[in-house]
Amino acid sequence: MATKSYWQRFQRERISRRRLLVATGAGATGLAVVAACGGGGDGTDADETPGAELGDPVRGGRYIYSTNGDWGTIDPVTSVGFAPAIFPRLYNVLVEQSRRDPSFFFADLAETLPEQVDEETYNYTIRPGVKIAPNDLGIPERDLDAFDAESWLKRISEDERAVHRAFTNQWLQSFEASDATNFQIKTAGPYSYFLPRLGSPLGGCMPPKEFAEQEISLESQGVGAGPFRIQAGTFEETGEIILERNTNYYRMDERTGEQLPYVDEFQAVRLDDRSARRAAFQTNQISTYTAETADEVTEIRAAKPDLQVFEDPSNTFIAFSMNPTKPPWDNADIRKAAMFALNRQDYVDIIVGPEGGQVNGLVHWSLGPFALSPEELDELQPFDPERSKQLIRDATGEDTIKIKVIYPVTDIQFHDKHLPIWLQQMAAAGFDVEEDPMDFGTWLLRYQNVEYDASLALNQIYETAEVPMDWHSKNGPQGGGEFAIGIGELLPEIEQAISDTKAIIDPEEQIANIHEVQKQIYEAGPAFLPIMTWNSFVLRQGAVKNWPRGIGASNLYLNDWWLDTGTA
Amino acid sequence: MGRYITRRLIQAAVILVVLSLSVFVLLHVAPGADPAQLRCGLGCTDERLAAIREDLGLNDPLFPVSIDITDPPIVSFASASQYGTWIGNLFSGSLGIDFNGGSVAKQLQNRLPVTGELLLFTFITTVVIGIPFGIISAISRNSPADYGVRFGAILGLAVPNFWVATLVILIPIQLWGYAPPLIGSVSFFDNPWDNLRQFVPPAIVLGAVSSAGVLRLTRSSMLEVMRQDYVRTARSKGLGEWVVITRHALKNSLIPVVTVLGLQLVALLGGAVIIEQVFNLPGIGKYFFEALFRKDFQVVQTLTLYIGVVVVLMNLSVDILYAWLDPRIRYS
Repeated sequence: MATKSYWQRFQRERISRRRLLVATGAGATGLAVVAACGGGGDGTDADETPGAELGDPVRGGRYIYSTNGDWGTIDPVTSVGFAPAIFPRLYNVLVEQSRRDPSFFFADLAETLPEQVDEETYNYTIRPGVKIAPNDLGIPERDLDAFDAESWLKRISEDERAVHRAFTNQWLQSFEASDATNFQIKTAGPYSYFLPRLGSPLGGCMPPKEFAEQEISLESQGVGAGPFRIQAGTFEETGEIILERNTNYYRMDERTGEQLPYVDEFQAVRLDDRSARRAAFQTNQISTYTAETADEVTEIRAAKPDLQVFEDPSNTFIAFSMNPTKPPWDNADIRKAAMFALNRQDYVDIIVGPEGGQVNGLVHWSLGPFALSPEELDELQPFDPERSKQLIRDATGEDTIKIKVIYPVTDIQFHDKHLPIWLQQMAAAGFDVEEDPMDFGTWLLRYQNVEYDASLALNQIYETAEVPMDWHSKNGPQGGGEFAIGIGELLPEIEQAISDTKAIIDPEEQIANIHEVQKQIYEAGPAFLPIMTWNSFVLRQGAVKNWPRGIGASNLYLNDWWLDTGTA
Repeated sequence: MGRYITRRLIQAAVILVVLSLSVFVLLHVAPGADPAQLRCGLGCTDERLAAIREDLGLNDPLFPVSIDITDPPIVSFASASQYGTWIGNLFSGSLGIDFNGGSVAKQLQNRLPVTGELLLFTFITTVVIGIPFGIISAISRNSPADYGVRFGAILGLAVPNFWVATLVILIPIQLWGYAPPLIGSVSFFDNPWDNLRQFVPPAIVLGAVSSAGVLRLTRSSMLEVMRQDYVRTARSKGLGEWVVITRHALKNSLIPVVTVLGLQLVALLGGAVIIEQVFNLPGIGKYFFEALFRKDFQVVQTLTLYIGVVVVLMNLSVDILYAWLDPRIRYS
């Protein structure tokens, strides 16, 4: 099974304690990394250990990556989409925990993991010397302190656009800086996603307090104490920016004692056309490219044998979202009919090939133990169009049922490839689909405001089980009723069960509980159906040295990689 | 001639007023999201939405004059209106502010050279391919060369240029590991070689379609002229075929071609929207494309009107050129 092979590979790729220390550059400013689990060699052999064969780091050069969509703004508290990929380069988090490898922590503004007085109280000690980059925004080049963290959480709790608003509203009881060094957060109860939430690039990066105090907009400008700063005049909302080295950055490379980052510039360019992106990568015009399939990797490797492949499950998916407050989706049997209509394996086979991804249950497979096993999914969500038709007949007395569906016209996340398969399968199961295609912006707005009966929809990257479960909550994934109304709106016991999963701190117990709640939702007829998740093949030029592996999005925080030719 | 040009300029002004009204109205009645809501984004509050609407001027009436169809009708005037502000911006040269908060005029100033160079190369490609091959096709009618050229022309017209553009990127990369510069725009004065590498491939792609049309028109026009009495007379005088073609037939056969060439240039502006996107050229086409998806009224309106101005001026230029090509044509 692909599942086994992935998790076997995952185990092999888990990074050793040595890797952690090297990669995160604990150095002159004090130990920066806490490895929560003991971690000697766990399978990483000497040849794979960065530094063993890489030689000495080279300073300089420009790393270039491409986006294929708008960023909107670059406000780290509110922006979603593509922009969060640059926030860890500009700003700081307290402590970041890898969702891919929970044993990996990146202690940034906080010196270590928080001290936990009890299950609801977290005490952070702020690291000295985390100095704001030179800038022309009037923000002083001072050390960040506990009051910056306080200001950041205050803004999240007050700004209705904030990505973490659901967290602060539902789970945060208090947060307070007693002085510049000590910061305390109290949650309203035990909350298992506390560290992933606070360290996420999506909403977890904190701007200096002056921005809030002086009401300076962060939408098209900003500065922090991260490894880079924005080169003046280079930001474009369409997705282009140049970052340059923050000469005040506090972090040193443990091995060399040199200040990080090694590269001088970090550039994002907008390249919408896929063939142009690929050609730009193959001709060294950009440093990284995401291939669609393993076959494409093979093709490119034939021309570029030195390229590096970073294969990860993508943690994202296309889903079919129904509004259970509107007919016919208020009928559990019709929701179940939609569920049985989907042959998810078809999407895998046709879009990325059998080895390129896997079918999803309510929690996507790439979240490993949190997802239901393929055997359980076969039982709970079989492909059975005849059953769909029967359910429709029982509910309506007709052979078919008319449904209205909105969707964006886009190729992001293979949406354009999902659509024809989905339309065909729904028609074969008795659904007469009235299509309402629209441009991406219009769709996003309607989706966000839940102005739909049903939608074939794109999703963010979900690295914990929290948001996939929240899609079934009455408040939706954002916590304020945006994007979706889950069946928790109709069934209070489901709502309570979803909420309860978050309070379980013990990982084993939480996994078992999340399995149980998924089964309850299946029984009730889910209104949100993830289809499949694919493997992502991120390629990097051979000249990029020491890029971190095995820690998922945590790689965004590490900057001890370099370009051995000065350009890549 | 002077009177004719004056009259045409007045007509052009009327056309542009009608065009500006049409563009403005069509954009505002087109289905899709409210641009203020698009801008407002996630967690949009009523207050924020109201502030954005105010900033974008969306609370102003559409036109400075409105008529309530009552008995009797009520005519009211507004000091500020969306149409009035837009036109005012056009005349002041600022062209307004786009959704990024940047000046549309500055964006155009930066992007115009990119699109201008692309269109110049495309135009050269169109003329260099379309006219000579059209002539070859006409003078060697029904020969293998004629069939070959006509086949190429039909192919050029039939194949969508965005697909050709993709092939132009993918085939060289697969065969030779070559791609044109795809990041940013390279100035000719900074690096002429890279500039040509960047602009020639998209120009050939765009030019392939337009040259196919020009080629077919040149051929048919040339064939028609070659049947004229004066051409027969020239031949009967014993003139060589080359002289007959270049001195007697070519100039007359180019009259309809010039008309089409002028209009082609305008059509190329539309083609540039997609081609700039594929080749990642930061020109006006790419700006237009992005503005369309954001419902950036200010930019879309301005660029559409700009294209309208080009069409009108191009038509005028073509008519004037007629007089030079064919002295029998006189304007009254």
